[in-house]
Amino acid sequence: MIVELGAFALILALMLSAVQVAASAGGRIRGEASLRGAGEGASLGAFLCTAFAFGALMYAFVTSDFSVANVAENSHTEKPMLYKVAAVWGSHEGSMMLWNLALTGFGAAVAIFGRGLPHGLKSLTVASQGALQLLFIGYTVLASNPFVRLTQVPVEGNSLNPVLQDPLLAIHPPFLYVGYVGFSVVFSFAIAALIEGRVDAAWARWVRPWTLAAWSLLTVGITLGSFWAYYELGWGGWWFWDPVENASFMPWLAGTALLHSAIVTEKRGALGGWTVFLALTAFGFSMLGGFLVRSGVLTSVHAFAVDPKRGVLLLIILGVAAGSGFGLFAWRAPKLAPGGVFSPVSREGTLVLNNLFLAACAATVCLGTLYPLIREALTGEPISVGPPYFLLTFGPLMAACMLLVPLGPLLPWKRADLLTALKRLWPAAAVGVAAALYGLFLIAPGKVGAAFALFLGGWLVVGGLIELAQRAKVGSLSPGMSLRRLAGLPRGAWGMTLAHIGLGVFVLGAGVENAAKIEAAAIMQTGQQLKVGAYTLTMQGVDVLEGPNYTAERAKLSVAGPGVRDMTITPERRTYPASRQTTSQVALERRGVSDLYVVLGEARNGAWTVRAFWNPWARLIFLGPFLMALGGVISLSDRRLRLGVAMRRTAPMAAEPAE
Amino acid sequence: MRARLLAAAFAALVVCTGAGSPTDALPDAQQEARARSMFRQVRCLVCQNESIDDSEAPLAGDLRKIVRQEVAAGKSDEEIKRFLTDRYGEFVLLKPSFKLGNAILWVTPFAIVGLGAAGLLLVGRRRREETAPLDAEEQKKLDALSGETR
Amino acid sequence: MSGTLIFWVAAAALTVGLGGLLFAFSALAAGKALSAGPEDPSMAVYRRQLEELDELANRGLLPEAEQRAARAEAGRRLISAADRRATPETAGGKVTKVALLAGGVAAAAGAVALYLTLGSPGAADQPFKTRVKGWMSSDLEFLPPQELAAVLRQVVARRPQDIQGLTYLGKAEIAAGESANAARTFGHARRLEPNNLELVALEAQALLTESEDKVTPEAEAALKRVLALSPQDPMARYYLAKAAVDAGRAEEGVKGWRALADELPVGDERRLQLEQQIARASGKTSLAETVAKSDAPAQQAFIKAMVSRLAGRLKEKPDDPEGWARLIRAYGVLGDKEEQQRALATAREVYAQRPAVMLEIEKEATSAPQ
Repeated sequence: MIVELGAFALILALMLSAVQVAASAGGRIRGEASLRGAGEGASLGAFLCTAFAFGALMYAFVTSDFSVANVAENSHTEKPMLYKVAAVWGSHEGSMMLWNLALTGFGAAVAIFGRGLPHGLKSLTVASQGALQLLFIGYTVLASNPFVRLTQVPVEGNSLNPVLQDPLLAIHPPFLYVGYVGFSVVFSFAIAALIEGRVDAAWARWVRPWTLAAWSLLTVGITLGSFWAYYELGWGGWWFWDPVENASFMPWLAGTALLHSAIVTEKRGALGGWTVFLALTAFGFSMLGGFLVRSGVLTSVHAFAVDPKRGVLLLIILGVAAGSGFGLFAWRAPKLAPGGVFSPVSREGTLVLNNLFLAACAATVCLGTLYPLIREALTGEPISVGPPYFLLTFGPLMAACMLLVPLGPLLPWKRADLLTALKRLWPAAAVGVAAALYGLFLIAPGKVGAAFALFLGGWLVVGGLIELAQRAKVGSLSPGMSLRRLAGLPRGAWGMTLAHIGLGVFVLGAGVENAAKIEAAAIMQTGQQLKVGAYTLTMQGVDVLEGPNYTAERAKLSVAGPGVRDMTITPERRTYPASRQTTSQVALERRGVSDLYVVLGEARNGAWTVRAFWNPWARLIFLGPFLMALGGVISLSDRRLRLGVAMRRTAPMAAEPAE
Repeated sequence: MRARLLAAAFAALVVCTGAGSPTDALPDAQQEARARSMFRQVRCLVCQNESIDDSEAPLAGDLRKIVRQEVAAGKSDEEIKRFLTDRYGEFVLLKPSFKLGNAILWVTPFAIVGLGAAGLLLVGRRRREETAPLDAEEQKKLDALSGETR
Repeated sequence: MSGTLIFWVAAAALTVGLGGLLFAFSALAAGKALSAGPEDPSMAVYRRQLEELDELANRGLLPEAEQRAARAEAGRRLISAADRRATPETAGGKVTKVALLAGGVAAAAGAVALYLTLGSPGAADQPFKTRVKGWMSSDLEFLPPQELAAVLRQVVARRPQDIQGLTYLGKAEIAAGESANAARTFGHARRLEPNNLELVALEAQALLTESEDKVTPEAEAALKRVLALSPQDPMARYYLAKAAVDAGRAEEGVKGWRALADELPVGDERRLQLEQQIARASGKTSLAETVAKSDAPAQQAFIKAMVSRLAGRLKEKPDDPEGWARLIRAYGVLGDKEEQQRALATAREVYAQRPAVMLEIEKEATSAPQ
């Protein structure tokens, strides 16, 4: 009965979305509070219904109710509980449910927390969100319903991919989806602003927290996914420019650009049209990503659902939503009041340049992802666009963008003196050059790209620190005073600096890992040794173990090297009988920020292939983005950005215009 | 067979010998390094978006053997690439070639930046006027409005 | 109360509750609309900006000229926002209430209608545990093997050391076609009782079933365990010899088979089959090649008929990579180069868009015939 109530609740959510659109739009047109309120109530109701339906589906998965087709298809009684839960969003239908849950959740959040918004803007935002809900919940109910029941109930379910049986993979989709869908609110705000014909500084202020929230979640989601690929796929790579990864990267790039352009709009009242365009684009890319991954257009590991009918439907939804957004933009944007004047050398100038580069980067990733599909469709000749392409196009654009990062916060608004700012940044440049030389001569001789990455990393990290020091007036004030100033800095300032430093940390990690990675492999019998970098592995033997739903060969290797005495690592090879697949469980031994990464391969005549990597500074690759996301969260907690809360006045010490 | 192709592609993802297999490496370390850098530019045809450096599919192994042979025979990177594209089409290269047909792909990223920068310069030159200070009437209105909260 | 009735009552409660929520929000907003002031909310944002600018200037961080210009910008925003003071919302009258009620009822009716076409009203949940309980209390003898295996799995989970339970479970799993699970079950039992010949043999059989008679390394290990306990075991000897032949050690394998065949009575069907396999293994050539090489026209005709049947089938259903590979290879065996090229060309046409598949076909077709 719970399952059927879930099915009913999902349909109820669809109907409530329709009420949400009609009541909210009606409230705006007639200027009536009771209608607007009804729309907000419907929005909350739609969320509650979707949450109930989601819970019902989860209940079916947890209890292994194979009378539900989706459960029978994607679960198995032998699966550990965590993966039964994660299987809820492992399938096409379930992932649409997660998407709907986030969509309605954000709609309800605007309805409830958007108390400080003008009524018209709020009504239209809620209405637009409702229209998106109609599209996506409608699709789920009619074409991808997870509550379909079976008359012939199978005894056992068809298990999920064992590669996907991993705690990280279980939790990364929720982050990713909530991040993706977070941009729907920004999209709806943009639609509302276009209809109202008002894109001003206040609008940018209202949009910014939603952007920050979505961006932070998306950052975490992408990073978790990347870390999963790093240790699960078993060859030590962490970013493959796989279309599925690109699908999540495009909205991230657009979101990052939006985050920065919204600041210009908020502080200077300029770039309103561009900010609206980015707001539409960010969610457009989210939907494109959802379409690419879920339609089976690119068959890749992540695209479990290969079903062209649904692909076409998703494409239509994408066309309707993005098409109406951009159509509205083309119609209304010329009527928006132009605002603001600015000089190229100023904070807003650097932010505009940053947007230019980020937009070009997003377009490049989009082009590189779609070009093979389009070209194959047109000419029939397939081509590949792989990592080398992105390295040559995206690489230099992103590098140029990063050069600007420490400069921006040091320049004042309106009109600035470039020379003064550059003079302040000389320690960053010096550290950067030193890092580059260190890399060029000691870590990875002759690798210019890596040396440049090290320069960029040093430039970004030290540049961020200089910016903090300048805010705290280190040097011109007593240390105690400076410390007090630091503590009094608004959280927005801390968040920004942390995010910029995080970017530097990431670049350092990626540069060193790429340049100085060491790889070794051997076919090892018990007692044989393998040297990788400064470490020596000695094979101690391989045991067979029984897991909950797999059988594992577990190798024991002792490790000797700097700072390591009696250490044993245990890479595994797991065989899942229910799906007849084999996965490798990497032994990941962290030494500082570097990783010793050991993979057990096939057995042959009493010997095992062992591959070992020394991945120097690899952990920084994942630490950096987490710092960025943390920066986003800290900015979000800045009370100046809090929504709906009446702004408390008088906070003389803390208030400094930061961003 | 289709299922087997898929299985092969999948095995490539989860199993992990591939290019690093110790038995196949060329004796000359410099040649081996060149071969490895070539591997990263060649797609494993039966896999999803993987280079033959990463893949364990049998076909990737064959391609690695071919590339190693060609490298050992002293062929240049260009020659090896031509050899591969003649046999398997452009699909085999992870880096699309710099030819007219792919112009959109290679030019667009930089064209966006170039055009954008040019546009900004134009707009920037046109709008250089200063913000006028508030006149007396505006100041009066503002004082009244600020006063509402002060 | 029947399940269906309970379901409808719950669904109705849910719907009514949500309707209540809708009207509560509506009434709340209407109540506030009467008391709310007309100030545009953006004014608060701009006032805040002005304050920030003043603070910055007070701390000497903003030159006076810049502060004046920035203040002018923010100030004008405040003034224009004040000019735009929004017309206040009305609470909404009776018409609105009626329209809302109608909309709510229509939405509920729509939900019920849509659910009736898509859902299975009142269908009960079927948690796995409940189902297993049901099977357990039914007559186990008439339970289909898969269900029986599920029940036994529960039993074994409670008594993991119970050899008899494990054996039943493994046998049920074999009967249910879950040979991989069976191999695991028997393996588990065998580790508990390493000298139990029945278990060891069952494990080997399950592994062989799982691999479709191919002697995998796991199966080979299991067979050796059988042999260690029962040196004359015919199954173990047969498959170990097969493993040797498959691994290219034909001589060793043939020796094993020969010994086995000699123990069987003449005229036993198994012996005949063994002899055939011995002949093939020691000849080292495949049956197809033998036939092609022989001059016997009847055999040639037989094979040609087979090939043309395959060609005909492929013409009707061209998307069969394995079929194409076999056809191309068969022409090769028959020595018909012309037909082989033609088949290759047709296959290339069929797979023009899928070079990866074509590549696999070519590889398959040119690999050594079995």
